[in-house]
Amino acid sequence: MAKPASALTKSLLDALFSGVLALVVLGPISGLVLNGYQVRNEMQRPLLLAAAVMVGRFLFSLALATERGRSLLGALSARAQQGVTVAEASPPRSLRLATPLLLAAGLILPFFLSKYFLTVLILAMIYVLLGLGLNIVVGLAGLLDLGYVAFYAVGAYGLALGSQYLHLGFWTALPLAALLAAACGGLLGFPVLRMHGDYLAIVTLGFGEIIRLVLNNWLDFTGGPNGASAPPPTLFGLEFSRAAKYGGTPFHEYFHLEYNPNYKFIFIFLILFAVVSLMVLFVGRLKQMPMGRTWEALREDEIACRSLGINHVTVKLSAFMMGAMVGGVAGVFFATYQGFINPTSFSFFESALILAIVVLGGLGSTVGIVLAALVLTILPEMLRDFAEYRVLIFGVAMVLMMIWRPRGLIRIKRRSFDLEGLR
Amino acid sequence: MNETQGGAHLLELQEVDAAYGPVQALKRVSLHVDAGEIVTLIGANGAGKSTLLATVFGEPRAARGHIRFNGRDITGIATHEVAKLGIALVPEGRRIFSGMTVEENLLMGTICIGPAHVEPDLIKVFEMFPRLKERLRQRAGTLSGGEQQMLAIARALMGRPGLLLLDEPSLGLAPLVVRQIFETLAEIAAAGTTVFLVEQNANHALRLAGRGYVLVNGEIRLSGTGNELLANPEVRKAYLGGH
Repeated sequence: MAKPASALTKSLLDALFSGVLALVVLGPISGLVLNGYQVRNEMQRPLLLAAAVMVGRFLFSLALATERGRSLLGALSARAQQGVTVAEASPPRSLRLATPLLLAAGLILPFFLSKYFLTVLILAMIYVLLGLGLNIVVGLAGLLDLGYVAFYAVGAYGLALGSQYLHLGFWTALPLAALLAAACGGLLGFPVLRMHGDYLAIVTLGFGEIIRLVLNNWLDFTGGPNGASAPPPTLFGLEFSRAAKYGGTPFHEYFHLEYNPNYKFIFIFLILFAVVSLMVLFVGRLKQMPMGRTWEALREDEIACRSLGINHVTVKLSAFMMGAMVGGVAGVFFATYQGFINPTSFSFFESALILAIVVLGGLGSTVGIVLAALVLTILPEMLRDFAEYRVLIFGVAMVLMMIWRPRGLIRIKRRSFDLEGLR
Repeated sequence: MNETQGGAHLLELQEVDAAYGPVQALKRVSLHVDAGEIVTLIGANGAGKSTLLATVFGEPRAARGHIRFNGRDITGIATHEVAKLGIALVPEGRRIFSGMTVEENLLMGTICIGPAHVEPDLIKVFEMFPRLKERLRQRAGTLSGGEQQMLAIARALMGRPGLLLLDEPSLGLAPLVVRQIFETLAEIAAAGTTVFLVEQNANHALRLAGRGYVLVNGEIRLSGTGNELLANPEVRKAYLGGH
């Protein structure tokens, strides 16, 4: 334990140093304001900012000098527990209770929400789905895919164009679009089988852009930037619009209810919630099945895998296709919820956002990804006033996470297998 | 799997050539390993030892010649099919799955035969390497070098191979650990798995092995029993420090 006096001097020195640094960095940026062709000098702003930085640094250093501050920081940082985390074969009791509670909440909640919150929640669930899908490719199989949005677009356009040209409804389009996206995943998978890391990232990035550009420029087929409309889902032929558009009966007329535009979103949410729940279950199972373990092994060491008798071609392709399929399903939900889609929804930023969800959530960790997706989609909505700073906050969060929790919000727990004769 | 069929050798390389692009790594290599034997291949760095093992797995493919296992020609077989025939490789540098637990690593070893024999096989493996049982739930990357080598061998054994190929298992290990590993290899052979060992550590390898080959610049220069090679002045000079 350092002496109080020396801790104080050290904190003061730290603060002074950060203040100077802040002045150097912020001075030109915020102190000189371009006004027409003239530069206006507003030095009071960087001075204020630097002062704020100094106070902050001083307090931080002081906190670090105390035992309590250090332990707090230690708890925040995951470095300390870098070693081993292995889950028990059976989940702890608190978790066993949480699952039915969450399920019940998900089923009851939508009936009490306003339309606005419903749409936010739906969007959040779509991102959960996207995160889970990309997690298969990036988190489990370790293939860095920067063009994941392509499969999302294929799913969304699968519904929109399928209804436009083939008169497919939501329920027929859902599996078909998923299959189509999986096929696209296979198509992308083949040329990139021999690639790793950076090369793979660039090729997938290109693939994502190609899909977007095709959608944008093939005017006759996709409608180009004008987009395409997508049908809403139906419940056994009952429609959720005020008047039947697709030749069915409106839901509220059939049940003699007052018309409420929320019905459609409640319905979409409930299906989506079911799909996401199934997906969480499925991914959890996958990790215990040889297939999921093989993906992880391939991520760790391809040569060892092949010497153990694993066909790396089928394993990689299966990861790509499975991930793409989930992306396609998410796309169908996106299209049906929006009712109208155009290529601007499928830009590279979207891929980056999904990747951020996976990385922030903790590569490979399902709970972490669900949390990250909810946070990253709901928080910006809550902070509507700060919408412009969304990307900035995002970036800062990324940097902080990578410093303090390099393995994501929730670190993946390795499963152990309850085998006889091992005790 | 351990019985040879029709008098053939368990593993046989016949006049095998292999190359990485324009660089020829193996030249007319012929050797054989019989069931129940411990055979070693010694040679200097870059002699082509690892290439020889890789060629058995079809990477690189033998440009000419034949590789037979149990009398069957496996020269053109796909890499991932080789393990299913009953050949297991303990790769150079161990190549364990460091992010996975010891348990998961061992389970990965059963991919080629399915999970039917997991539990009795695990018990056998733990008798051989009690340390692995203690570290069962630990990330493999946190093991010591010797333990990682044990894990690599154990993982290979989980596939119930008839033939175990090892690429420099002594690499980077303390002498005491090396001795332990070699004792285990003798046990493995005694239990009925044929062992083919590629080593730079000629002294240990030749003492353990019944027979040995010396590979120089991609060619088999010498062959004989372990003791013959140990006594051979050329071998002593090149690989045993010339005493």
